[in-house]
Amino acid sequence: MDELPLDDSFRVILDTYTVAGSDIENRVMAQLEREEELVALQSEVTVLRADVSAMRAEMAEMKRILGSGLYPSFAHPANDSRGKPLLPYAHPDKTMSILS
Amino acid sequence: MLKTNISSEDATDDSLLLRTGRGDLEAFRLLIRRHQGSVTRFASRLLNGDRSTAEDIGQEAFIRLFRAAKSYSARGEMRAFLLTTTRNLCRDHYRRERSTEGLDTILNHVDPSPTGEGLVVLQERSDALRKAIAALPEEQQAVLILSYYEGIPYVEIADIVGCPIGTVASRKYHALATLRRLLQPYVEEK
Repeated sequence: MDELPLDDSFRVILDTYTVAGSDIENRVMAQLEREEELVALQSEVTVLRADVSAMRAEMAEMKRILGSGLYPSFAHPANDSRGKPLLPYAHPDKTMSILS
Repeated sequence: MLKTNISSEDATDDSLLLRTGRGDLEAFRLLIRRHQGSVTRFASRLLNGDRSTAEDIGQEAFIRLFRAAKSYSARGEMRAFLLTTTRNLCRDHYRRERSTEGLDTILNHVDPSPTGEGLVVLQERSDALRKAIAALPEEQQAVLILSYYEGIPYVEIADIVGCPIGTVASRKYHALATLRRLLQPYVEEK
């Protein structure tokens, strides 16, 4: 299809619709920085969640062992030369009060 | 992220985008500087002069370009990607706004650019033109703005709007014919 010929008077009107372009460089770069920080925070949160999950599993295992009375290493803690237990928290009664 | 010095600003869009994909933020800055004007002007005209939304949309278009950079294979279509994204975002915005705002409000949106007394006549013509463009079908608006106001070749516009080159020419022809008819009183004034 041929171009529609534009006479000067019509072109003048078309050219009245001026729009200035905007400088958005800093806005874009700032958003990229925020997104990068967000990604870093999200991976940190993922690591922390994994840590918490592992600690919960460990705690549950300790409760299971203590609850079942199968805690031979705690029941017979290492003693010092005078026969005093080296690990005071290993007393079953104290340990149970902390964990229960 | 990796930063390298760009020795020349003459680098092609493709090479800058490939560098961007490798984490070179300075290359991406150059791309923004090079295209931010046409992206925000295109969006602003498609949105009937709503400059603030046009800037938001321009920002989002560049962010999407950045995300796409990692998987970009140089094909000389970067500007087409950017302007296609801009157009799609404008359409999405228009659809959302239309459901809450109503067409009349959008068509009557006034660009808050400063006007002086001597510019009243010019402003009146400009407003009439803006409303006439807003009344065109979106396909014709996009082609008219890209071709007449941005000077983009038909072959690239065909990529951007996803139609054959002949259709681009036809849409521009009909857009100009409609504008001429709608703006006849102002043409005769001259």
